[in-house]
Amino acid sequence: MIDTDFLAIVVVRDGELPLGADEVTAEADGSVLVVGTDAKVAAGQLTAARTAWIAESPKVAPAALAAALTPVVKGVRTIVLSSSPDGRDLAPRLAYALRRPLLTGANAVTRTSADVLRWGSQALVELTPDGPFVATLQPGVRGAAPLPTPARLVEIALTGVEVKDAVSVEVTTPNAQEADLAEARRVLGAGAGLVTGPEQMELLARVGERLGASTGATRVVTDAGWVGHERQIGTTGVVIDPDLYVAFGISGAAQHVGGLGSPRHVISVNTDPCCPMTARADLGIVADAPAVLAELARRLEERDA
Amino acid sequence: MIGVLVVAALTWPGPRVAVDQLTGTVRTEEGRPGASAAGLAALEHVFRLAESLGGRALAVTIGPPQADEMLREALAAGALHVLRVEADPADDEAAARALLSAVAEHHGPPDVVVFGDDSGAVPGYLAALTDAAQALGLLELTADGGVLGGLRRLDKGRRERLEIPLPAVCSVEPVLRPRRAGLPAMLAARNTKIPVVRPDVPQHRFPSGPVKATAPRAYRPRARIVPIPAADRAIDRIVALTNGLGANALATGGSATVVTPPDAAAAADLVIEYLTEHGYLGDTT
Amino acid sequence: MPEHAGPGTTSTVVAATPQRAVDVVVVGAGPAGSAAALEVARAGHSVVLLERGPYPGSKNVYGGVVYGRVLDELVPRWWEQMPVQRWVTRRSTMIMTPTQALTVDFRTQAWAGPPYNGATAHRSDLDGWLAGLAEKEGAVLVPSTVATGLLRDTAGAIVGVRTDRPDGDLTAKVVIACDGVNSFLAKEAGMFAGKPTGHVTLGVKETLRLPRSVIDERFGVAGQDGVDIEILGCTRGIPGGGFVYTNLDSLSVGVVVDPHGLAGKRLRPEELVADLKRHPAIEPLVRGGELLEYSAHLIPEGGYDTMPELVGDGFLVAGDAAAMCLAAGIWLEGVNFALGAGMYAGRAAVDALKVGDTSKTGLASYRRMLDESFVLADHRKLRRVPGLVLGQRMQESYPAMLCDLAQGLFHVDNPQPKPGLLKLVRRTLKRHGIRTRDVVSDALTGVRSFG
Ligand SMILES: Cc1cc2nc3c(=O)[nH]c(=O)nc-3n(C[C@H](O)[C@H](O)[C@H](O)COP(=O)(O)OP(=O)(O)OC[C@H]3O[C@@H](n4cnc5c(N)ncnc54)[C@H](O)[C@@H]3O)c2cc1C
Ligand SMILES: Cc1cc2nc3c(=O)[nH]c(=O)nc-3n(C[C@H](O)[C@H](O)[C@H](O)COP(=O)(O)OP(=O)(O)OC[C@H]3O[C@@H](n4cnc5c(N)ncnc54)[C@H](O)[C@@H]3O)c2cc1C
Ligand SMILES: Nc1ncnc2c1ncn2[C@@H]1O[C@H](COP(=O)(O)O)[C@@H](O)[C@H]1O
Repeated sequence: MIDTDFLAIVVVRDGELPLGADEVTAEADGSVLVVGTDAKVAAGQLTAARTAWIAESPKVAPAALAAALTPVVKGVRTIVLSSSPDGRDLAPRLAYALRRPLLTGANAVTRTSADVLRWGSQALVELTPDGPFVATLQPGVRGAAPLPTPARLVEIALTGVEVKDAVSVEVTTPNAQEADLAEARRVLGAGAGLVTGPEQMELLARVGERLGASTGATRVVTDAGWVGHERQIGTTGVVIDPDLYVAFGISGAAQHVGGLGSPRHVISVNTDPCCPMTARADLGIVADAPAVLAELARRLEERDA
Repeated sequence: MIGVLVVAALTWPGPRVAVDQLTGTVRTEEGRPGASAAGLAALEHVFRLAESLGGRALAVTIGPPQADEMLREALAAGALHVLRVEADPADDEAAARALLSAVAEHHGPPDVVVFGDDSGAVPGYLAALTDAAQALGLLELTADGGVLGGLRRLDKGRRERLEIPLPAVCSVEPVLRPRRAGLPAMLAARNTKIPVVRPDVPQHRFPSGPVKATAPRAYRPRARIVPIPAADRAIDRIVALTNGLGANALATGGSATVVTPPDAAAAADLVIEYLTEHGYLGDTT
Repeated sequence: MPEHAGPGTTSTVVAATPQRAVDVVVVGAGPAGSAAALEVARAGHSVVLLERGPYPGSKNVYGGVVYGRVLDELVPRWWEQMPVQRWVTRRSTMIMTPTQALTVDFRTQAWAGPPYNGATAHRSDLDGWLAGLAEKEGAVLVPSTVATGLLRDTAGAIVGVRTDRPDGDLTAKVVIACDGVNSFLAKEAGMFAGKPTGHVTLGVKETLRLPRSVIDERFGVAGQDGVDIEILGCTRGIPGGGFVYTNLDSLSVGVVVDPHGLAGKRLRPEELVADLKRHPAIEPLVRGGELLEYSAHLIPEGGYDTMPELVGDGFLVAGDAAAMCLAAGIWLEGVNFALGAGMYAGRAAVDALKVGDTSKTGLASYRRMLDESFVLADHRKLRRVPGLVLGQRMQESYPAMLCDLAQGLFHVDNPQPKPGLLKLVRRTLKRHGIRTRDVVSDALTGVRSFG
């Protein structure tokens, strides 16, 4: 049993933390349960933990984890997971097993309520259950300050339960192209407001070359097939952490912004002055993205000529 | 009834909503929605699975009569059955219960259910309810020799390859485009009456009662916590923070700016000026 | 993407048996197409209505003013069901220069009750309603399907259409082309052979959201009453005109202009709309409106003289496809003509099916019905009007002259005595370099057209 009323649960694989691990931990005032394969290694990488409970699990699969964790976290009032793929996967299973409401896609979670993002991150709604609940927090919404002192580590054992899960055959790491984007210091991002065909992606890449920047896109753009899925930036795509991010025609949905890391300089070119991307930019330019990109390309080419 | 039952659970998107960024007022936009891209990808996956598993394809949605159109197209494109569920689920668990009860009543328990990955927590709950294997956020979903295989996205660009036993609940990213129905099938589907089910799903009650919700308000980003620079003296930490390293808002000696330049040329000027100022470009003048 | 495959240019010849998949295929679920399908279905014949958009009206969501009188013949008590935004009870004709505006404002409560006159309506609502009426009578609407070409028999008669769907050929006894301006089907059928190339104007429109109460207040209306303002002189001398319509909680503001004139002045159409929105007479009406939709669309405006052949073997053309839209400066009526033409096309097809002759001869009643109705009568009468309204004098000289005249009349220049009206007119005409001869000639054209 875990003796806290507010707990983050972080699902790890092979000792690697998922997106938003420190953020959920900080949200839960530093109390975290790290569960998965090589959980101890992963827990050692947390910077925002005060107390980390460590539970080794032979495999990472939602039904098995939900069954094994339920008796352990039954007494915890508020449980928060990151909306990373494994967190999103586990949350409804856990909420169902604990017979509690699930509040998904939160911008902020407190002991008693969650502020959830709705309608493509356009609005916030505060949800208040009258009792215990499970919530998922969007990665990237809050950041986390590292704590000066190392966490208290408590190892706990889980009891295995026979349940039905898909079998994980292998986990592959990103290929070179994704790594190039993931590690780039400067990134130009393309959204639905910029891209209506492959030509804008090509132009963006040309501008990127002149600026020494890599290029990526939102899911709307990769879904439309204008650029490969390996270029998708976001919580379900490549996670980046550049110095400079220039967003062309990107609304700034939580799933996209969640993969941006904390760039030092953000420019957003968008026709909507109120969209979340512009709201978090250092320089928000209200303008037609294709036109600005074309003009920018012309300028840079002239300058370099 | 023979063969496995493969179900495409399509989300009915409802009207598009826009939120006023001053007042938080939510209003619905004109125009009629159809199936989402992810839903259509789920449908195409279901057709392919039904073909290779020798099963029956069913398309189902929770939605109002306007959703019939989407189901008619599914029928024309190759679904053996369609079903529209009329229900107003209070949450994703109730939606999963409504879907399950409607499908089970008309066609028996499903063997595979495929959602688009815009279905919230409904697939997770359905897997919990039916004790099925769950595989969500798939880029690929195939059936080889009666075994389902999936490629799932993890974070940080990693991929997980899964072997998925039946019964299974899956959700797919919108990576496939649906096949186009032939004209004769379209014509035939026009005259088909779409079966409607109103499942009697008891509203799921948590021991603590329903969740209270406030009226929506406009989105405002949270203040982000920035790591404290490593320096012994407070003055050095402040200098580090304000020197453009580490703080967005402090970097340029002011808060973020939103400008509306008169034209694209002026906008490009602003971008270049900003990039130059912050050392991303050499002197351009 | 196959769903957006463009129309073919050559017809496919098929070995046609007398057996056809359906009696009638109507291409395009706009007002013309739905009216045609409604009439055919009502008479008990099988009819398929093809629409390239995902639903009728999807290509253009917000609309304009619709004159419903023609519906009396098609839908009894239509005003009880039509999805109306507001009933037009106030019609203003505004003549402007960049700094002046002269308005003739007419208001009648007679148009606020049955049988009504004009109404503002959203196109997606209106087109959806009309197509729904046809479906209720048994027409089969097939959305997201593009007609890409015609099917002909060896003798050249049209026997169906090819679509962009798999197994997409559909044979029919009659094909009714209601596919809108620049109809590929009418061209492919050779209906434009020997006709002067069609004139088109460009319609551009912005929809601006404003609270309903604000619109009521600014336009001086209440309840579901609405206003239609037609404007001359707001297009920088480019042949055309402008408009402002009230919807329930939005305004439609736009211009209809000659694309060549625009190109000549190197202007973009949205600049004209921006001009109009900034005009001192318009700005207080549209101030603070949030842009919801911007749309641009070609409108056939050549009128009577540029209409194609309307009847071929197994083939009829109706609505914008047959250049039946009346678009000249202060007029913008197309939906009513499209409804009328579609209705008659449907009836002609029914006549032809009844006697078992769907050749050009069997379908000839279409032309006769059109001739006897407002559809062609109005167009014949107004055939010179586009030239008049879009001519230089009406576009530039007259608005300025009339505004100055009004200004002269109302300007109080004490201690100077007021000038006599005739003297004022003569002085103003002279200042604007307008010859009395031209005024008389234009007046005569006007009287002949409208008298
Ligand atoms: C499970 C799940 C996972 C997801 N994962 C990701 C992910 O990893 N990454 C990701 O990116 N998304 C992801 N999404 C999708 C995400 O929710 C958003 O839909 C997406 O990020 C929006 O992309 P966008 O900003 O390009 O498009 P939109 O939200 O459509 O925004 C387009 C923007 O362009 C602006 N615009 C329009 N025209 C112009 C113009 N002419 N000039 C300038 N601006 C213009 C508009 O004002 C708007 O702000 C996920 C969704 C789900 C359900
Ligand atoms: C900006 C603007 C403002 C206007 N304002 C008014 C107004 O206030 N009042 C008024 O009365 N009129 C107005 N009009 C004119 C009016 O819109 C048209 O005259 C009228 O819509 C003509 O109807 P239609 O059925 O002939 O053609 P459309 O309404 O153009 O319908 C044609 C249909 O055919 C479909 N289609 C085309 N090609 C194919 C194909 N190959 N296969 C399948 N489907 C196809 C199209 O998607 C469309 O739905 C305006 C026009 C414009 C552009
Ligand atoms: N198959 C489905 N039919 C109808 N509604 C669904 C279906 N799947 C998911 N939903 C709803 O779609 C919503 C998804 O929203 P979100 O969680 O914001 O992505 C959930 O609240 C469900 O109620």
